[in-house]
Amino acid sequence: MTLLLKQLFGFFKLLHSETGNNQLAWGVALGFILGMTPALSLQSLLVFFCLFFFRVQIGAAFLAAFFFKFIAFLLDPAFDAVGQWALELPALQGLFTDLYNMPIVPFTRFNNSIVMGSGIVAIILLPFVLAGSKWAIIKYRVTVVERFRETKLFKVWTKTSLYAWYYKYDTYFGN
Amino acid sequence: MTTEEKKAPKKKGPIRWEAIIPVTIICAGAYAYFAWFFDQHLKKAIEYVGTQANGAEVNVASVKTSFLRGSFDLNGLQVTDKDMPAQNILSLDNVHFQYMWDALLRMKFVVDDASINQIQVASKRSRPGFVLPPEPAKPSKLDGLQKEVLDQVKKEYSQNMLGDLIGLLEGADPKDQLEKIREELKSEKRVKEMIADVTTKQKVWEGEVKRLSDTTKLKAIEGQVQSIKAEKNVLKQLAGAKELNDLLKDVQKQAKEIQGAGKKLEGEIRTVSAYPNEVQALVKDDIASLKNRFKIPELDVKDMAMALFAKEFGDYIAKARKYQALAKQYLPEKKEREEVLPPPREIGKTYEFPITKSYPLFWLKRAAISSTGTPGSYSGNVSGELTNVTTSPKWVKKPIVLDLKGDFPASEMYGVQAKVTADFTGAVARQGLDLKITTFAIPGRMFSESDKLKFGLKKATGSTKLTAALQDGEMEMSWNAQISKPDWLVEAKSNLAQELLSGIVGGIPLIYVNGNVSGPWKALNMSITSNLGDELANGMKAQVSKKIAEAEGKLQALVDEKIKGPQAELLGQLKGNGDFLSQIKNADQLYKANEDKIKTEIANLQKGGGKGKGGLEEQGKKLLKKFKF
Repeated sequence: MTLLLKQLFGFFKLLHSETGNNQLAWGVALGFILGMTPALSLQSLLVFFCLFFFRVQIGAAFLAAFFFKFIAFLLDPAFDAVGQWALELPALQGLFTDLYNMPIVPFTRFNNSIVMGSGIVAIILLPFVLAGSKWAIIKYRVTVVERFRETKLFKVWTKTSLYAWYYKYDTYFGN
Repeated sequence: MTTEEKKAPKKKGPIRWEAIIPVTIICAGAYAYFAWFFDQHLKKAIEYVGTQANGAEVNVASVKTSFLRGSFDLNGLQVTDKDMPAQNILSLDNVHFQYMWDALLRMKFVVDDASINQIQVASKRSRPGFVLPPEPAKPSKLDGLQKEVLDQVKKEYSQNMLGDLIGLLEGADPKDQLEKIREELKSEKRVKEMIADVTTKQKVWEGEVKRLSDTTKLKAIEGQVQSIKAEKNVLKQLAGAKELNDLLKDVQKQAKEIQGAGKKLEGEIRTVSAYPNEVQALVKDDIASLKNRFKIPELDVKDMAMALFAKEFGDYIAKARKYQALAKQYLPEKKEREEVLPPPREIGKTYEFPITKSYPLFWLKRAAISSTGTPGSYSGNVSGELTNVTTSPKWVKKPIVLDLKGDFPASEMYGVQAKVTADFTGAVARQGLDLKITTFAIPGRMFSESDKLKFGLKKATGSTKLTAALQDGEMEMSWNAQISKPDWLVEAKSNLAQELLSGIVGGIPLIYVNGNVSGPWKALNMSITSNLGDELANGMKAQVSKKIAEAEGKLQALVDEKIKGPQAELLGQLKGNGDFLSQIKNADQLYKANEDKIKTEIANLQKGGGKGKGGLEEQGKKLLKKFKF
C-alpha cells in the first residue's frame, strides 16, 4: 500500500516536474492495456513485468488502468463482437488451433471473444494512446502548471516555512 | 534556498536496475522455501488431513517434490488402525509420481509412470498411534446401502434351517410350547368371545321370549270375549262391542311387537350362525402360523443350498454394493454431452478448437504396484498395475483397470488374481470385477450351531471365482467355489440325526457352490446351488418329509383339541337360539289366532249374534215398539 501511495505521489510530482514525459506516457499506455484486459491472464502478467522491469511510471499505469477499466466495461459488447469476428476468421483457424494446442499459450485465454477483442483493440490503440498521453502531458505542463506557478497563491506558498521544510526533505530523501 | 543549490538528479536509464536486488531477494526466498521448507509443510499437511480423515494417526516419513523434474515422492506412509492402534491398517514404503512437463505447462497433471511399493496390511507399528476422539455416531450411507442388500439376502435364507430339520427328526413335540402359547391362538380366543356373546344374547332373549309368550293376557281377553258374547242385554252388548274393539287394538299391538322381536332374533341368529365358519378359518390361520413358529420347512433342494451359503454370497454382494457406491462417489459418471449454457455477455464466448495435443486435468497413465510379504503382517507378494485413472475417461477412451496378482502366505491364500475395471468411456458406465483365488484355507464355517445340532466345517481348502458386472443400475454376479479336503464337525443330540448327517457328509469329498445374482440393487434375484445342499436335502428328504407330515398332523390335532370343546359349546348354544325363534313364532301365531277370534266376535255382534235374536239394530227397534213409540 505504501509502495502504491508512493507511486501515486510520484506520479503527481513527476507530472508537475519538467522531466519524465516518456515514463508517464508509457505508464498510461501500459495502464491502458491492463485496463482493457478483462481479467488476470498471461498478458497481464507480462505487462506487470514490463512495469516493474522498465522505468515506467507505475502510479500512472495504475491510475490509467483504473480509469480504462470503466471504459472497457462499457465497451465489452464491442470487444465481444471484434473478438468473435477475429476468432471466426477462416484463414486464422489453423493458427488458432496450433496456439490452442501449444503449452503456456492457452493461459492467455486468447480463445475468449472478449479477451481477443480487447487485446486487438488495445494493441491497435496503443500507439495512439502513447502519443496522445505524451502530447497531453506536455500540454498540461505548459498550460496548467506554468499558469499555476504564476499565481500569487503559489508564490505565497513557496515562501512559507512549511514549503521550505518540504523542499529540503525532498532534496535529501525524495527520489 | 535556490534551485542552483539543488543537486542535478543523475539521469537514469530505461531499465529499473534498483529493482533487481528486491526481485532477486524475493526469488531467492521463494527458491529457499521450496527447496527446504515446502516438502516439510506438505508432509505435515498430508499427515494432518490424513489423520482427520482416518480418525487415527497417519505418519509420513518424508515427502520429496521436484519442480524441475516434475516428480513427487512419498515415503513411509503409515495409517494407524483406529480399532487397534498398535498396528497399521495400511502402510506403504514408497509412492512415486513422475509428472509430464508438457502437461504441466498446460496446467494438467499427467503421470506417465508411477509406482506404489511395498503395500502392507495390518503391519505392526513401532509405537501405538493416537486415535482421535470418536465423533457422535451417524448412520452411514454406505452401511445403509449394504443393509439394503443384506436384508434382501436374509429373506432368502434361514440360519437355523438345518437345526429345525434335525429338531423334527428328533421328533420334537410342540405340545409343551403350544400350552405356553395357547393364549395366543386366535381361534381359541375368538371362540371364547363368541361363547360369551351367545351367552349374553341367550339371557336377553330368554327374558324377552318369556315376556312375549306370556298367555295370561290372552286368557283374560278370551274370558272377556266369552262374557260379552254371553250378554243378552242389548245395551250391555253395545258397550261390549266397544270393549272388543279396544281389545283388538291391544292384541294387534302385542302381535306387532312379537313380529318385530322375531325379525330381530332372526337377524342375530343369522350372525351367530356364521360363527362356526369363522372359527374354521381362524383354526387354519393358527395352524399356518404355528407351522411357521415351529419352523416346519417346505423341504426343497434349492432352499437347502440357499440356507447354507446365502450368507457368504450376501457378504460378497454387500461388498460389491459398497465399492460400487464408493466408485460412483469418486468417479462420477459424466453425461455424454455437457449441457452448454449461454455465457453472460461480459464473460464473452469461449471458442474450442480441435485438440491435437492435450491432456485431461488429471491422468495417471500407469502405476506399478508391488509388495513383498513380511512376517507378522497380512501383506503378500503382490504385483500389479493401476492404469488410466483420469478425470476425463471419455477423452482418454480407456477404462480404469486395477490388475493384481499375488499370494498371501500369512493368510494361506495363493494364486490370487483380481481385475477391477471401471469403464466410464461410453454413454453408460460399466464396472466389473474378476476375482480368482486358486487356493485358500477355510478356517471354520458352521452351517448350524444350536443345542440340538452343531454342524459345519472345522477346516477345509477352497478355491473361488467371482465375476461381477454393473451396468446401468443392473448388477450381475456369479460365484463359483469349490471346497476340498473338508474336515466336518457333526454333533447332534439325536442318534438318528448324527448317523444321518455323518453318512451324508462322509460321501462328499468335494463341495461345489454356484451362485448367481442379477437385477437392480433394490430387487436382486438370487439363486444358489450346491451339491452339499442336494446331498443333505436328498438324504434327509424321506425322513424329514415323514416328520413334517407328523408335525403338521400333531399341530392340527392340538388345535382341534383346544377348539373342539368350546366349538361344541358354541354350536349347542346356537341350537338353543332356534328354540327361542320357535317360541316367538308360537306366541305370534297365538296372538294372530286371538286377533281373528275378536274380529269374528265383533262381526257377529254387529250382525245380531250373541245370545239375543237379530242384530243390535233390530233389537233396538223391538224395544221402541214395546214402549209404543
